[in-house]
Amino acid sequence: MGVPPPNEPPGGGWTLALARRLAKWHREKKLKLIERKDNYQIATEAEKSVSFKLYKKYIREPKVLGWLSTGLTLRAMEPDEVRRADVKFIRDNLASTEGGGALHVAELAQSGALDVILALVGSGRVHIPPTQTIDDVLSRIDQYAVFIKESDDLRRATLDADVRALGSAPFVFIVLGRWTAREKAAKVFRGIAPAMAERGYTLTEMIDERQAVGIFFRT
Amino acid sequence: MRSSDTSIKLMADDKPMHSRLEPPQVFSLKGAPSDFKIALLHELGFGSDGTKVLDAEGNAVKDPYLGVEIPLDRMVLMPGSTIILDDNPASIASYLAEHPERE
Repeated sequence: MGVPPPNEPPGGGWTLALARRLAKWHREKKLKLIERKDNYQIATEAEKSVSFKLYKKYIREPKVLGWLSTGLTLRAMEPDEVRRADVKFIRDNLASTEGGGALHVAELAQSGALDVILALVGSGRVHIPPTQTIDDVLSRIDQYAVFIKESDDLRRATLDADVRALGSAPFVFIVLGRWTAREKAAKVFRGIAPAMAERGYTLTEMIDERQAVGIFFRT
Repeated sequence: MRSSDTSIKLMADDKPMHSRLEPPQVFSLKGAPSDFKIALLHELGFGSDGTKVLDAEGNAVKDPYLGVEIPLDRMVLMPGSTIILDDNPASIASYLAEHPERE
């Protein structure tokens, strides 16, 4: 006989004996018990992706890797209309984790900004000073990035971005805005670009219908 | 979503699943009745009020990554019987990223 349809217990049905056998296998760490296969598949594809393999070369902190993997699942789900509610559910709950830091780290992966940063670091075009690491960028994200909201005042947001970039002298500085904050984010990073250029930074822009990301590298 | 599903091993249905010697790596509980899930939770030292997952003391179990309570129809149990997740890609991905040795 062939493979049974998913979500049907083969053979004997949803019996107490089956529950006990599943529990035994689970206790023996041989079995993952899931609900929706598509949710599991998105997660496993994120973990096996080229992006995640790149992240693992630079990042050691398991918690941060988890947030980055979350960002990759958001990237995979975002184009799917059916997944909009799932994306909102995850983002809303992630926003209250670690003072919003978890969501910001996830957004660096979701947006593709971290991939660009690591690719440039890997190519040798951008040098990381000894006192700064990628782990440092992600664990102290607010010193390396500003995340623009639609409700932000443009002048104040631009001033805040400029002050933060000046204050910590980072090797990389990111300005990111998504969806309705996209245009404002672009105005912010273009607004600070002249001052950043004077400090030796080069701007890389990533703009599409979902986001505007400005990445300043000190070259 | 891809229709092929190579990461999930289903068992052949030539005999009752609980008589098999080797477990699948992944098993979906979707479609299982609540009574079955509650019995499974009891076997693993957890409980349920009929709608959400509870710990042995009767407190609601929360997803460690998103901090949400876990409805009975959204529970994902990862190896290591104390880890129960809400069924969403982010929580599962976070778990897999933190526990690569279990893949």
